[in-house]
Amino acid sequence: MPSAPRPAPPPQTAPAPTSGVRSVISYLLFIHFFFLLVGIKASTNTPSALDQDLSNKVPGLHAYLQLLGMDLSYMVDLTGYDPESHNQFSEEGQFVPEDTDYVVEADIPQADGSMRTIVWPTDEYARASIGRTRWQRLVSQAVILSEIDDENAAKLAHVIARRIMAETGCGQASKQKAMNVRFRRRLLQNLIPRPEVTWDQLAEEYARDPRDPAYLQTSLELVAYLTANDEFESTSKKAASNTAAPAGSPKSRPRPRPTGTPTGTPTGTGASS
Amino acid sequence: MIDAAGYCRRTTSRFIEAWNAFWFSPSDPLPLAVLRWVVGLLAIYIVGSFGFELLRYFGSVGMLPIETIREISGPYRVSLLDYFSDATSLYLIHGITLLVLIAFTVGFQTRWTSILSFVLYMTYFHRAPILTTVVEPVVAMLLLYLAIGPSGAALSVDAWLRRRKSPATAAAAPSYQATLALRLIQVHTAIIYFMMFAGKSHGNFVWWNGNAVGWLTARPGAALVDLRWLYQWQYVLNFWTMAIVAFELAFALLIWNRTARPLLIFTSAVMWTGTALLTGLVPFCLAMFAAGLAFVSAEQWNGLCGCEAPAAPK
Repeated sequence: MPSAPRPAPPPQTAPAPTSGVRSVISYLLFIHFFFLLVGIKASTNTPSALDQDLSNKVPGLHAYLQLLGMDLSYMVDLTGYDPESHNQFSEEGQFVPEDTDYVVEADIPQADGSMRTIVWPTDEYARASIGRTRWQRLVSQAVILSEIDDENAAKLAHVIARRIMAETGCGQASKQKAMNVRFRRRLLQNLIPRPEVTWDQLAEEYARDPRDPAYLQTSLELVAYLTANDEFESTSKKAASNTAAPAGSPKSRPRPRPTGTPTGTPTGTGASS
Repeated sequence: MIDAAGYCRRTTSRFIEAWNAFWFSPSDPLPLAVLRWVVGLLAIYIVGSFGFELLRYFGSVGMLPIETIREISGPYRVSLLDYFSDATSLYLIHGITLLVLIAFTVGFQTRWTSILSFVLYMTYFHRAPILTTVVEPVVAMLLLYLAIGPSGAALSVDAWLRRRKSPATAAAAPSYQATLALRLIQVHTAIIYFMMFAGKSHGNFVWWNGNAVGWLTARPGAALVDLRWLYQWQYVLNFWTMAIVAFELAFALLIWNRTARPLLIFTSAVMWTGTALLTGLVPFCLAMFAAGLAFVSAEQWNGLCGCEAPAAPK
């Protein structure tokens, strides 16, 4: 008869730290949380003078937090969307909104003289994939930096266009032909009830396709080409359109009848009504 | 007459006792082991997703030239990837990183792989800070603290090998390092929740007027399901918005209360599922939910899986 398995012996507690070890760890904990809290406070949109002074003058603070990836405010607000001021950002460019989609479009000249437009992130990325989010972040950085006239916007846009040209083979296929690249932000459908808009108008807005290209706002546009020496060049040009609004609503679609009661506080006239 | 010196002595003594009990009383490393699996899988996903785009981002004709990135994001971001831009080196580093992360996740040589995992994970984080979404910093924080504690002491290859070598070996021993790592995760997580509340409440009008969830549903490229039809029920959208704000504040403050803790952890599952559907930020929602799991004790984990808790340590 098989013998019953012996129960495992109870776990022995690891030795407790000595008083000296506890003191050292406590000191390190104090330093860590002091740095962390100062870093967090200084990274907010409205840091106090004390936060900024501490952040700038405490030796090693920046290096410590940046190395650990903790030099941020953790103020994940997901959205702060305001249809009237969506393109106003802090001068430092710290505020990167997570609440709109960004795309980069390229008109690529084909060998037969026609143009083919490709949009990134492409549909190959799953909707919630981190690869798609990275594209959004990259394009949003170029757009936002351009809106605060940061010189790095042009650099970023330049290297993105260069990569697009390299991946699409545009330069080789049609040398000397320019490729147009547009960095665009997708404005949101304004379905928020507000005094100046009736429920019928909201229903009409709802019936529109939120992916309608008319919702796209071009923020940065450049022309990219290969020179005679096969060197990549790009020049910025004035954005073709700085506002976006659907031209009209498709009348053929069913219009849902709103049944709720408006409760939202007015937030503006909306980008597309 | 008031004995001021005695009062100060007693108060200081009580504070030190409470401090030592909070940070240094030994605890079971099982919660760290559970977190190691979740965080390890998330880190594999985040780093692995660069696999198809290594050259696109980091190659010599990539979209992230080092000089521009340094100018935008600061000088202290040291990355191994700064020194390589050819395909062979990039894929080699990527392969090694994934192997290390897999070893960490399954708990093989965890003492070393946990530290290496953090270092290699940060290599990507520092090379591409402008691509950083909201999830990377949360996972970085969790990886760092898991490297401090004995996260490989249970549910790991290391533990299995240890038992195979010596069947009489006791189960994972409670240790103060486990408590230290867990407490660091708990405090940092509570800070993040509070700052998320602060971000929504401080000058962010749409969270106070109840319209935030309405705007989130309107973003076609993000939401996992089309919830725009909810515009007809504004009360629902307003309630959902306020519920998110209230939950974040409640989690930061009340998670320390033992009675409220199970309710808050259950609510966090509901809240983060809803947020994932709304925003499409699935990895971030998973990471935040996982961080909250640091508040589940070893006894509760044993109770959940129907396992018998190890006998109390002597």
